[in-house]
Amino acid sequence: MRAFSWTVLMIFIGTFSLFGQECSITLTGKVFDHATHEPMEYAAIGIVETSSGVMTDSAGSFIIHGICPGSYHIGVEHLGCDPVRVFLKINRDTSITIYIDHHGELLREITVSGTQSERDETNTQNVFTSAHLKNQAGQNLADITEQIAGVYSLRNGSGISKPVIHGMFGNRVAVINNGMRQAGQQWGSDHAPEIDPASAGSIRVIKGSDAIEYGSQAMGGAVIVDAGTIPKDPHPHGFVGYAFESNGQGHTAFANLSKSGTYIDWKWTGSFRKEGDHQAPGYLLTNTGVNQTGTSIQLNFHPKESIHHELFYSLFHTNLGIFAGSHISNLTDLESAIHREVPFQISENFSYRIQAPRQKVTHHLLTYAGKKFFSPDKSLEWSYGVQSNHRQEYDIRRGELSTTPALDLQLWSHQAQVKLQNQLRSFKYEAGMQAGWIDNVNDYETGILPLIPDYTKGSGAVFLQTKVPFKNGIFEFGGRYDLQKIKVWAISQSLPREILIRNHTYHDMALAIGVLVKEKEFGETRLHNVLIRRSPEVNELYSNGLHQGIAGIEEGNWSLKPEISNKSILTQSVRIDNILFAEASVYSHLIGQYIYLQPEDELRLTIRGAFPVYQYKQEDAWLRGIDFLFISDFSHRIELRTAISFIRGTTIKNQAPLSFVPPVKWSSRFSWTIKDSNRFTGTRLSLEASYTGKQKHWNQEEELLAPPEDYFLLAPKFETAVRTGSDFLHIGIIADNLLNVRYRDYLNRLRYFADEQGRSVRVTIRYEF
Amino acid sequence: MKAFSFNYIVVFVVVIFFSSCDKDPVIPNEEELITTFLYVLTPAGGGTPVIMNFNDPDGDGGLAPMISGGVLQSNMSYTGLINLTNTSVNPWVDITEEVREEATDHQFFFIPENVNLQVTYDDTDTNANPIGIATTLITTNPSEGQLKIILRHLPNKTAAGVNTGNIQNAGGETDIEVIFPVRIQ
Repeated sequence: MRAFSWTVLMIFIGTFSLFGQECSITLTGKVFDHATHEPMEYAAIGIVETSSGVMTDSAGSFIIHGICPGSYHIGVEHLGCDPVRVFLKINRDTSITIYIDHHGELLREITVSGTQSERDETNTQNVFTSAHLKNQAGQNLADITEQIAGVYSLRNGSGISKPVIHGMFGNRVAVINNGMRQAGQQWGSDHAPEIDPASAGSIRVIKGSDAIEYGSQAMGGAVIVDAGTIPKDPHPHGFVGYAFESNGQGHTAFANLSKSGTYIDWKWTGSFRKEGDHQAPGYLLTNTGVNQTGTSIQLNFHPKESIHHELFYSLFHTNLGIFAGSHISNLTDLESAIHREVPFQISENFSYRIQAPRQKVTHHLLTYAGKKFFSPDKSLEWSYGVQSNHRQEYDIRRGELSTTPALDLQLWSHQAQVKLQNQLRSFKYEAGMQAGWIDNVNDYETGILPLIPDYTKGSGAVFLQTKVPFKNGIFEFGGRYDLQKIKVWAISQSLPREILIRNHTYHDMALAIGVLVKEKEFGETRLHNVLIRRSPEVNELYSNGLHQGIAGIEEGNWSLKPEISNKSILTQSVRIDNILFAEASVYSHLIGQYIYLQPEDELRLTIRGAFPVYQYKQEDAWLRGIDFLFISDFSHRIELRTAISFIRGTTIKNQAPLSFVPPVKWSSRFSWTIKDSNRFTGTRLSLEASYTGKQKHWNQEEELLAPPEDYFLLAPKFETAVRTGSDFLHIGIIADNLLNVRYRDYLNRLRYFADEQGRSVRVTIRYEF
Repeated sequence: MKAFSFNYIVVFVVVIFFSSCDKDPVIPNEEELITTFLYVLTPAGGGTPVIMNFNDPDGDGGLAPMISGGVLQSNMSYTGLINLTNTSVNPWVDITEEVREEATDHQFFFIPENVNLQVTYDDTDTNANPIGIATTLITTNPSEGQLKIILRHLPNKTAAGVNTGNIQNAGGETDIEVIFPVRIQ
């Protein structure tokens, strides 16, 4: 796991009544750690324009005298962290408070201006901030979220991964992209979220349930991607970067540029990534290349102090290869592939070529959001977003058909929302309404009966969230109701083929209660409980056909009933001064009528041989686990961070293990920060060790192959920032799987066919101006 | 603080044209499907051919396929010919021809189980590797068991044993795998 850099969190600018004389203005301030609220000693505060600088004292305070009126960039640096810069207009004596994020893992929210409302504090959230994200160029969304305790990735080879939160994924984890529920093809383990992390300003993982605002899809948790705020700086700032990854000979170029004005602020991001065949220890993983481009534009318009408008557009395009050796047909093929030392269909020569089987996905997102403040505590927000998701999957086919996709889906999605935030004395509430429309169309030119039929889905929802502070804590309560109408145009299995139109109406709801208690000296306790009714999705109701990847026929079940889920999380954090921080989360997730794929007793005979048939069925299930995080700063220079997660999932009736429940995972990172010099700052050496256990609880009746053995990986990392004038050149080097260990991962479908990729050295250079 | 005023609630109306969203999806033409597999065995020197037949007109789902094997004479040589058809489209498509056009990417494998027979290739692709559309089947002693016929797409035809009909190292993807009951009398 990568080091968290710090970020400026909140800048409250308070002004003193006295006007300063020319060049006699005093800037005073305090620097705090946002997570612990401890004052930060030895933070270097400098005015870039005048090269004057001071250090904070043991109370985190600083004073700079003799400033002329004007606009300045204030640089904030602290040992071992990414330098941070804020822009200030100083016309009189000014006092500022800067919260920096020294322990990013602990944060529950990032707020850049004091006006944004706090989010639900009782929920367990983890945040990746921009400074941290910038160091992750060339990674997938799930590779980044995987660094959080309790979050795993479900993979299909090296290029496709989706987040798994507390054992839930797909239809049960909401991915929120700039306020809109990401509308892609969430079904199937081989469909990754269509999001470019390079366009994100922050990525938040909510392990509790944020179902009140995001609906029942957030039952297992949510991944929230935001473009983030635009720095309040009238000069163009940003960064350009390049990353090279040795495994797959991957090249990633990325850039970010932003500027603020009196009325309009803008930000642009762009990234391009090209990777070739990856390498497992001993052989090449042929056809595992990726070509990916992403770009985004964000425009903020604020004609008045009390009104904000935001327009955001993003484009994500990817063309990625599926490992050639994993392309099998029937059960016999799968069994012979499983027992091979070296997979079929591998090539001796490295290549960037991407051939069938491959996936081509283009995702557009356009959102508009507005917010009006009536008073500091009362505001109204409204938003509308439209998404287009075009997914084409190419298979190896006979004759001229190989240039025709085997799956070609176009999904349009519209979402609109209004939300009112208000406060009555200390009682805060938020009430909103949402409406959505989804239209999914198959291209019939594929010449294959579609796996997911054409459908439309209309939805409407109302929700209310309240927050009541008490003596040393906060009590939260929320409720939501959803109405969903689905219309499906399914194609009959029998001859002659005909269109069967079916309508479904579902009522979903959610109720959440949370309590946060802060013990001043010691830590805090959070308890969160959410009850959700989730109706089945179209893939669970109607998917029909052969999943090439799993050598199985998947059958939907249109008589499925909604799931009733109750998830409780208790989180206790403890801190001792600034030296030790520990957090433990215990959770229990009960799901009545849990919908999952169960194999039928008999194989189905087709012209391609025999296939197991998996049908969506329902059974009561129980998932429970513990996430544990321990951070110790032995000194300002040495830090030890350890995260452990355990999870178990069984059916209630027979205590039979559920599939795809992650095994135990332990990871530790030891980092050593080298003293800053005039030239180098934030120089840090770290070593990460991670252990993933063998999943011993698995269902022999449902799985074709026993889970793989446990494995241990080492990843050393070096990072530094070189000062060039007032700008910085950031350099990072990381070696993943340093020992080139041969291993397979239980949550990677590739495990049937090949080992995971071997050693990979990634070098990232980023020039920040 | 003033009590909450309803004046600020903005009327929120999203017009969804449920009525205008009726679709008329087109049922795909299942061009790739193989609905009928025939293995026609003509006794050397003529006579009534034995036809093994696998027939599944509605594809993977729906009704189960119909399979009929064959009764062969002992110590006899047959010329075998495979015939693949897609009857789900109109007019029917001869898939055998498509396989022949991509002969280098396809190979049939014949695997007898508990029956005393052997199948050898009578045709080759442009690289002089076998295809298996035309074969010779030779029976020996009376026995009863089955014959498994597999069509592999993109096999490694140069791997050890593949050109003599050993599927072990062939790899590729299975386009067809059918099993016929066979009796030699």
